[in-house]
Amino acid sequence: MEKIDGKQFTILVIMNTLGASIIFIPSIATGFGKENGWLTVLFSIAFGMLIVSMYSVIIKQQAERDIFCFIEDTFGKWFGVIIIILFNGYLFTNASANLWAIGDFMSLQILMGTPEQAIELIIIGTALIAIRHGIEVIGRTAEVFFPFTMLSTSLLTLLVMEEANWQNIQPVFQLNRLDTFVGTIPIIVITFLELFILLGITHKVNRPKSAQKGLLLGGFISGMLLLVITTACIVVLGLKATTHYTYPIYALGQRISLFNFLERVEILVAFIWFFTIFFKISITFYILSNGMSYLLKLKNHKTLSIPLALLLFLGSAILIPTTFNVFTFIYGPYLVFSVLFTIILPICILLINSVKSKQQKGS
Amino acid sequence: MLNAILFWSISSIFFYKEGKRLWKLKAKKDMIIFTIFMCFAVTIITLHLFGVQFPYLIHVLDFITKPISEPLRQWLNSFHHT
Repeated sequence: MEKIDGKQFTILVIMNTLGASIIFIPSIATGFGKENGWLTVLFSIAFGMLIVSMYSVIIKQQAERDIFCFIEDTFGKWFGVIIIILFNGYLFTNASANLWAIGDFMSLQILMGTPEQAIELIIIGTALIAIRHGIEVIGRTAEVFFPFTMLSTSLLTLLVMEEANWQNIQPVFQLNRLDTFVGTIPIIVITFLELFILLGITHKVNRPKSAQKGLLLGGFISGMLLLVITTACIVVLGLKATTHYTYPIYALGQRISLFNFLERVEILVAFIWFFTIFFKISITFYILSNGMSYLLKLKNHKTLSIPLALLLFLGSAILIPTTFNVFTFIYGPYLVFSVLFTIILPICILLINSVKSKQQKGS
Repeated sequence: MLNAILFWSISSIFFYKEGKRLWKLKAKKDMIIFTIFMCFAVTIITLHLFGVQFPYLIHVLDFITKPISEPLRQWLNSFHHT
């Protein structure tokens, strides 16, 4: 059986959290909290870590079982199957949305003029190769690209700091207090709540304890990175620019200029996002393909990988009409589905299993 | 039309490769389910390539979750500064 170690799992957690969020969070945070945008992210980390702790308890209960098997064991055969079908639907939406997001970003900012679908086809093709090689290969690849991703993130924030205007984050928590708190909702939805998906690979981590530790550590590190990036966007770009740019972090990269030597390194942003979202798509796709195989009792997850890749490609093409609809999607149906599958479902799992274990002890 | 031909060619290569792998494994059930899913995916993408407009997923999901998502979105937007 394929196995990954705790370190690789931690890296996958970081890559997954940064995936879609790194590019959207600064504008969402400042959109709600304004000058307190960085505080919105800070509060999100605090609430997010509570949710991640709940997932960590589920990993303990899971005891090396596949999440789909665990759901079936918890809810019984028929109800379990219904939940697995719906959860697979959530995974499909998530993977399609991420595929659309990277395709949209690439076609608007980097490969201008290239059809979005051509980019999406290449990315889903690469993810298909990744998932057919298995989780071990995905874990090792993430390990290889992780230092480069971290270096790019550090360079991006450090090199713009000379332009920082710290007046942009003042007054600190004097105005928009309620808005600052409300802003944590969409941020948690696209960062920490999506970590529930990773419970689909925790049984592949060689020690369950390292999976629990990896989830908490990875969640915290990625939260801190998001905090640093959001703060950098606010102090360097200012409030208006951070709120109005669709991709403020890309505008941040455009500001970098060092001794007329290091110029226009916004492509670093593209690298960061490309690597992080690639792992996010691959992992979600891998778990989706495992979920479908479990549902249909197939011998191997590879069987449905090709048709699912084609369907994900179509899903990304018919997901959202334009970039302007992305926030309608996040603040609307996606929020509802996220809460349903990543908060209510885990709470139900925890409650049912604790009642079951009490009954077992009693008998 | 050119897109559709290109797509069919790629799909048939995939179908042949995966079919061969499943044939070697003698996984009959896997083979049947793979064929059904592949036919479904190819048909639906071909229709898309021929210009058949499917409803956007966001609209479908919005319709399903409307009683909750609509007031939630309005509430969130009331805190959002543009």
